[in-house]
Amino acid sequence: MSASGAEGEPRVHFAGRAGPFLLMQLWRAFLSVITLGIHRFWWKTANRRRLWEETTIDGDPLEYRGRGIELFKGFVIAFLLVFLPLGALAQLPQLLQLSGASEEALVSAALLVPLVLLPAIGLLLGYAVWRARRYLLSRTAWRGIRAGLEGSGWRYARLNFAMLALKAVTLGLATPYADARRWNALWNDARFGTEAFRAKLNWGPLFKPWLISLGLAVALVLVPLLLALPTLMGVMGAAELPAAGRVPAVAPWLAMLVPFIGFAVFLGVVTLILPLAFVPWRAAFLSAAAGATRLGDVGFAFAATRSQWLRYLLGNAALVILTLGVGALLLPWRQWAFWITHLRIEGVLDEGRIRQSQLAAPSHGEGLAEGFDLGGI
Amino acid sequence: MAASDGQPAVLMDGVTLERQPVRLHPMKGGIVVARPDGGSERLRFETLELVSDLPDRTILGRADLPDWRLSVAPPLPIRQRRRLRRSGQPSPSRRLARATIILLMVGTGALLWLRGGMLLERAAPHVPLSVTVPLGEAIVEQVAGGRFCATPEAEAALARLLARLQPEGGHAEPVVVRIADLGVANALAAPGGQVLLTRGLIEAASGPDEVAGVLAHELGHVEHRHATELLLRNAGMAILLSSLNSNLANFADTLLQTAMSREKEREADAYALAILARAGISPAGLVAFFTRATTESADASPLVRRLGNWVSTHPPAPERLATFRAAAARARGTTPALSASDWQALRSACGPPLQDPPAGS
Repeated sequence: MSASGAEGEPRVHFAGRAGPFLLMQLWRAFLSVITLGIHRFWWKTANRRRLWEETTIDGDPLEYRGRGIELFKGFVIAFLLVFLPLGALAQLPQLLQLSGASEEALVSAALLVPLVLLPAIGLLLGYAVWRARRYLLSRTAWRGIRAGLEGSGWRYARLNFAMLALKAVTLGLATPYADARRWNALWNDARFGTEAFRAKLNWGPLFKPWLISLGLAVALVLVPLLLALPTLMGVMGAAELPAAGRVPAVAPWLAMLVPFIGFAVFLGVVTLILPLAFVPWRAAFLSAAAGATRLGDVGFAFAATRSQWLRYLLGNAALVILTLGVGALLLPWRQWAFWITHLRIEGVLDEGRIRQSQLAAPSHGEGLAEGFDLGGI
Repeated sequence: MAASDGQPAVLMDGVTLERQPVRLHPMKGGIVVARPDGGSERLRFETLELVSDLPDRTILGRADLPDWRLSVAPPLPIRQRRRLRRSGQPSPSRRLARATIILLMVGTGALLWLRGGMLLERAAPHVPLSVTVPLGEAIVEQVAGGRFCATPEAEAALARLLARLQPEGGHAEPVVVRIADLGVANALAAPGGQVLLTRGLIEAASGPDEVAGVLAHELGHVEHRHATELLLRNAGMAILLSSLNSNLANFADTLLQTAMSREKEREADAYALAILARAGISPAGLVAFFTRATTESADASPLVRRLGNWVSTHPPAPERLATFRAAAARARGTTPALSASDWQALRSACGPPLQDPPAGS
C-alpha cells in the first residue's frame, strides 16, 4: 500500500537507536529521582523531542516544539484547580466524622460525595485526554506546519463518559462501538495546518476480533485461576490449623508466602498474559482505524500482523523481566518504533491548499492527563 | 553570486507546505539565503536558532518567524552550529534560576531526610488533646482487651501515687493510669497521657517502690510525648485522619513493637529519676525490678504475647543500671511509694493476689 521514497525506503521512517535512548532515559530517571519527580516534565519533553526528531515522513523529520515548563505549569494548574478540591471533597465524610457532625450530615455526605465525585472524575478523564492530545498536536510540526486539535474538550468528555458507561453496562460488549466512536471523535477534531483529518471507522467488522479476544482472555485467565483456587485455599487453610493444635501441616512461613505468590502471579497475568489475549483486538482495531482515517488526499494504513504484535508484546515482557524492571525505560521507544515502522501512507498532501494552522495553541499542557496518570509517550 | 554557488538547502517558510530549494552563502556574522527566483535574504546568526542537530542535516529556525525552517544537508560545520543558540534553550539567567531551585529542593529533601526526626519532635506536642486522648484511650482498650481492674481503693492509691510523682508545674498531659487484667508484667504509655499497668507487673513487684519506678519511667514518656511522636513517625497522618471508631490494633502494635530509641529511653529515665527524687521515693526499687528475672506468664491473646514483658522491651543496659544505682545510692530521706494499705489495695485491684510476693529484695 505504501508508495516508497526514491531510494526504496518507506515513506514513514524511524531512525532511532535503542542504545542512546536508553542512556538518556537512565540519566533523566536519575535527575527525576533527585528532584523528587519534578524533572519528569522535562524528561517527557526530551523523549518526545528525540522520538519526533528521528522520525521522517517523505524525508523531512517531525518536530516537537513543546517545553518542559509548559507541562509543569499544566500540572500545577490541574493540581490546584482539580485534584486539590476533589481530594478535599473525598475527605469530607471523614472530616465531618472527626469534627463530630450529626448523624444526618454524615449520611448525606456519605451518599452525596460519591454521587458528585464519580461523574466528575468520569467527565474529567475524557477532558484530560482531549486536552492532552490538543497540547501534543499543537506542539507537533512537519515542514514547518503545525498540527492541532479543534473543537470542544467538553463535548469529547461527555462522549467519553457516555461510552464508558455504555461499556460498563454491557459488561464490555459495546467496546468496539464505543472505541470506534471515540477514535472518530478525536481524529475528526484533529488538524494539520488548515487541513482536517477525517475518520470514519465502522465498528461492525471489529466485533468479531473483540469477541475472540474476550474469549481468549477468559480462557487464559479465569480457567487457570479456577483450577488453582482449591490448591491455594488448601494451602492457606492448612496454615491456620496448627494454632488450634491439630494437623501439623504446612509451615507457617510457606503459608504466609502464598498471598505474595498469589499477588505476583496476579500481576504477571495482568501485565503479561492479558495483553497477549487482546492482540487480535488491538491488531484489528488499529489496522481498521488507520485505514479509516485520512488527511486530505493522504490515506493511512497500519500493517502489523498479529504475529508481529505478539513478538512486540513478548519482546516487551522479556525486556522488563530479564532486566529486572530497568528495561521498562525502553518501552516508550519500543512503542514508538512499533507504531512508526508499521505505519504506511499513500497519496500526497496538496501543497497548494494547505496553509499554516491558525489555531491558538494552548500555553500549557496535559496537567489533568498527567495527574490522572493517563500514560502514553 | 552565481545561482549554483553555495550550499544547497531546503527552505520551509512555515506559511505553506512547499519546500523551496535554496542556496546558502556565508557572510560576515551570518548567512545569505538565495532563492531560485533570484531573491535573497541576509540572516545574522543572532536571529537564527538551532532547531535540530541531526547526523544527516541541520535544521535552523528564526526567532522572529517561529514557523520558519531551513533544512541544511549535509549538516553545517560544527563551528557554525556552536555559534547558534539552540531553540528552546533558556537564557543563562534562567539556567541559574533553575539550578538554584534544584539545589534548594535537593537540599530540603536531604534536610528532611536527616533531620526529619526533629520536626516530629516539635510537632508531637502540638497534636491537640482532642485527638491524642481518644487515640490513647482506644489503644489502651485494645491492649487490655477490655479487661481492667479497678476498685475504689486501688484508684485512690494510684491517685495518691500520681500526686506524689508530679513534676514542677504538673503533668504535660492529664494523666490517666489504668490497670489491665493481664498476667504478663508490662507497662505502656499511650498518647494523650494514657498509662497502662498490668496486673502481672504489680504482682511481680516486691514492693511499691518498684511499681512507682516503672510508672515514673512511663510518665517520662508521657511528658515528652514519645508515644505521639512514634505514631506520627510510623503511621503518619493516617492516624490523625482515620476514624476513631475503627480497629486500632495496628497502631497498638506499632506502639508496642517499635522500640523507643535509646535517646528516648534515656530521656524517660532522667525524668523518672527526677520525679522520684522530688517525690522522695527511692530508685532502688527500679533497680531491683530490673535485676530480678521476671518470667513471662502464658496469656492467650497474641497481642499480649507480643507485648512481652516490660524488662524484655526495656533491656537493662549497663549504663541504665549504673545510672539508677548511682541515683539509688544518693537517695536520702525516702519513704515507701505507697502506704501498706495502699499497696495492699493495689495488689488486690484484680481480686485476691494469685501468688505471694517473692522474698523482698
